[in-house]
Amino acid sequence: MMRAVAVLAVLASGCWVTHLPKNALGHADPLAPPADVTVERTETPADPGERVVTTYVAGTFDVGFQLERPTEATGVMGAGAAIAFGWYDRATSHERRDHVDLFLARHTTWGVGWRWRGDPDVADSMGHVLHAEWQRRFLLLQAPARVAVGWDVDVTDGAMGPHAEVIFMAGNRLRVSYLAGRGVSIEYGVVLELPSMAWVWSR
Amino acid sequence: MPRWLQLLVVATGAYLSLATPARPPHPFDYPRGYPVWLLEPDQARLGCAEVKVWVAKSGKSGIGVTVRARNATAEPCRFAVAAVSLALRSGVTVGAPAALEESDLAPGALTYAYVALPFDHERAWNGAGGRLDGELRVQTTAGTLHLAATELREAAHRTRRRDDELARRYLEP
Repeated sequence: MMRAVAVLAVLASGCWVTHLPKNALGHADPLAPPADVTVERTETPADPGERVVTTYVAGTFDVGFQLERPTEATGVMGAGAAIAFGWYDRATSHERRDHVDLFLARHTTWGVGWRWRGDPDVADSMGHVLHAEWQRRFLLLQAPARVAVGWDVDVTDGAMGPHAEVIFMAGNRLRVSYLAGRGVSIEYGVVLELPSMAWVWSR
Repeated sequence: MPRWLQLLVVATGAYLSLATPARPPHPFDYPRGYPVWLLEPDQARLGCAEVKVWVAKSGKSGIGVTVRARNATAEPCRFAVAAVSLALRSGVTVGAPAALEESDLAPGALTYAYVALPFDHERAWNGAGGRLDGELRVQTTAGTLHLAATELREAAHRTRRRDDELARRYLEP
């Protein structure tokens, strides 16, 4: 457990952007003479834009309550880790100082994760829950935000069901999920998600 | 206090302590870098003319080469660029005749010829894995110039000065 957390911490400690050489040339019409034939330099070509693949690593912590059948509500707590990746096109290539913006752009990502979840005050109630989800990232009030829908599976007993969540103000998470046989859970928590790696190449 | 509430207090405190400093003003920006052509040698004496060559345009659909000739003698110099060709190590060869007619250059006078070499540059670049090597040949009425031509991407971003006053303070603190 501690080793996994250490690996995640290293992965999430910064972002790396790799610029691939593929399609690196810009747009320039060689048949049109340069604007000033006497200038000894290569004209800067027009920007063709670029393609970006992003990856993210996140740690999560949530508390909330679970509406059990028929009416009893109990507390629930979860902590876990998740990864996500996505890709998109940019019409304009990024600048070096804007590497973080590559991760903040509006785009779709796909994520998987693991949570250790249950009622900490009830013996043997904590279980391992895996999830896979579709995420849509965007900026809301200048802060990273996203919505996501996906599917949870409790690997301890096989219970499964859908979930939906919204992340706003850079890391606040509101999550609603349903697990067959247990009912609906509503949880609020924090997601410490950091951009991890991106690969960029020209269009 | 229940354990989950203790954890919530600690996690909330850690989250709220995160801060992002404002970006300070900076005299440079760093837009995308493009592959550049290096010619060796890029100038030579051909008969009465001192000739300099550079790649003036370079893009996915080809390149354009400028040839500048200066009469390096005290006598009139008859000079013209006949053709320019590029032979890449990968086997791609492209050439084109120059459109300019032969001219008489007065001592010290300059003349310029621009020659377009359209070809599938992007395919050649991708096929070479990010570096092109070859030979640029410039045929003139005074002889032929053979230049070693290399195209490479020196950096993913180039540096562009945005604010001269800030740049001066930045470089000379």
